[in-house]
Amino acid sequence: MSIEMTNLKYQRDLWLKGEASAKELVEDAFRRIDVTDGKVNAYLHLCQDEAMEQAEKIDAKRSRGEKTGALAGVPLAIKDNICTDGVLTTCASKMLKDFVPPYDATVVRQVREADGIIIGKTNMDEFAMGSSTENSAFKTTGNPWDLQRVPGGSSGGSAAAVAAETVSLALGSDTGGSIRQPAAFCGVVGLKPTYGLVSRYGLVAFASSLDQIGPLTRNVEDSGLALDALVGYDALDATSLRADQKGSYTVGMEESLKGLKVALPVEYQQEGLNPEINETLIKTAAELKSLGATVESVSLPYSAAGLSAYYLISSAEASSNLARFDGVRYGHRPESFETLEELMVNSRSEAFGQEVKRRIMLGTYALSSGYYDAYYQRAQKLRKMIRQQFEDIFRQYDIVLGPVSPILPFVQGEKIDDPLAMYLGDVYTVDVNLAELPAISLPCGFSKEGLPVGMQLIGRHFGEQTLLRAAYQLEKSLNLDLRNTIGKEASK
Amino acid sequence: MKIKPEEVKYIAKLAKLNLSENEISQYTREFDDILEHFAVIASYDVEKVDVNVFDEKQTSSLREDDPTLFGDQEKLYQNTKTLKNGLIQVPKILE
Repeated sequence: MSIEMTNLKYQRDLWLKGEASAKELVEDAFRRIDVTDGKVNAYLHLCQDEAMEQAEKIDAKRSRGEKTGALAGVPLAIKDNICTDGVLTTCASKMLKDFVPPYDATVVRQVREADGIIIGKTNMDEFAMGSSTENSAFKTTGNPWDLQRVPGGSSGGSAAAVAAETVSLALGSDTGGSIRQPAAFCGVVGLKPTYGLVSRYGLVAFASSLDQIGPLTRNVEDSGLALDALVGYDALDATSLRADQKGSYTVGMEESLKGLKVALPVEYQQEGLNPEINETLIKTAAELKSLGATVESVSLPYSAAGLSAYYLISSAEASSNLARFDGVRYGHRPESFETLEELMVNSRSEAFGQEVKRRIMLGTYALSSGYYDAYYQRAQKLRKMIRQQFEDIFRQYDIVLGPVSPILPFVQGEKIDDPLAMYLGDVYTVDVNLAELPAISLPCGFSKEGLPVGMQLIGRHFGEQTLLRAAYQLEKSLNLDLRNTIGKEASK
Repeated sequence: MKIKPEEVKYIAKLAKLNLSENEISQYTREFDDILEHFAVIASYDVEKVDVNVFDEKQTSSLREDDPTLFGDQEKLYQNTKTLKNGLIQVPKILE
């Protein structure tokens, strides 16, 4: 049975109405993977047996008339840095190539409790460090819009899995843009929630003060539905916060944008921004105006320091977080070592990839004696100023509009030997993580070559509902055809 | 030059990484570019910013420190390569 897969809500409603069983939905997802994933390479591991078993249980629940969860029957994918009990979680690193977590991350428990069905784990940049998914130790993922191009990163596998229409929901993690940028490159919707809104328990830590888990979906409404399942205070995450949210994040999406105040920072239209992306940004601002919003230019003077502050802080935290990989309790065990020191050094030197080593060293440098004040502490002070300037903006405006990436999806291999050029691609996304704000990336147009162009809307802390409303109205009004050839092939 | 190969070697030692000569010269070159870009942060006056003062809204979210037993003890060690009598084996650290 081939199921016309448009989105998560559609799949869930099919199941709720009894028009498709969870078993059929899961079988269809694997059929789609069979057709597309040889080319796209979005998945690192598939969980066919577990998924079928889960689907049968959920179908049985329905036939017994039991209450079912919000994601009932929906096949979904999880980024491979989120722990899944009994299922490989490799972070796309040789270090964890055989690592099987003994527990579920909180978000995994939540999607299971919501009766969602995990069908596989997705490719990513090693330990989420990268913007192209080329830093995976195992495979290179292609962008479903043009297989020669990168899907973005680090959640590139999750974005490609959704864009190739194998699943309607994939979870990703965003430390400096790792949900939003691949969403923009692959023409899907990616939401980075407010820091603390979604539990990080069981997310393999990269930079703990910046990491946040969020959904990648085919449309804005699904993003809200997925967020409903993911939020909630978790005692297992000391940075988890209680949101005041009442009811679903999808409530109020239909409300008009009349009176919505949108800020457009002048710093977001600087040299280096691809002219086609700038054109889409201008059109998006005009579209918001036509929907009743006001759009005004503002200035974020500290944003020029954001990228440097971000790379210093995130690398410093990474150097500390990744110190746990010493080859003793888990992870790569080298073949030859005599002493404990050799065990640790050989394990790390053999199993970490180039980019991970680069970040660990950059972070170690920023924290080392003599450089701490000039780099790490100064970066922390700038982080505070960046947070402050957003707070000032949000006293007058409801959302901030900006591009996601200054560049279009690029050809594989084009930037891999130039780390600084790769880092510069994160210039518009990192401030959001430094300021702990929520932001949504949604497709707003196409380049002349037919590549998707994404824009981001940034909101106040816990302002997800306003963000989702603005994004939903914008999506409806733009009414873009977001199906690519690979996705259409999967639906045949 | 913002950074010298000797410094890269020293940082690698602190980070418990063993680098080849090629890697050392590659990272020295790359860090030079990256640190030059990072120099922008020195141009901001942040003298008066106190990173130790937290916003009133920011609160720690602490839970009771109640010890609990992990259900399946064996599962906890399922990723350990060398286990003997329930203990992790590592090379001798004392002569």
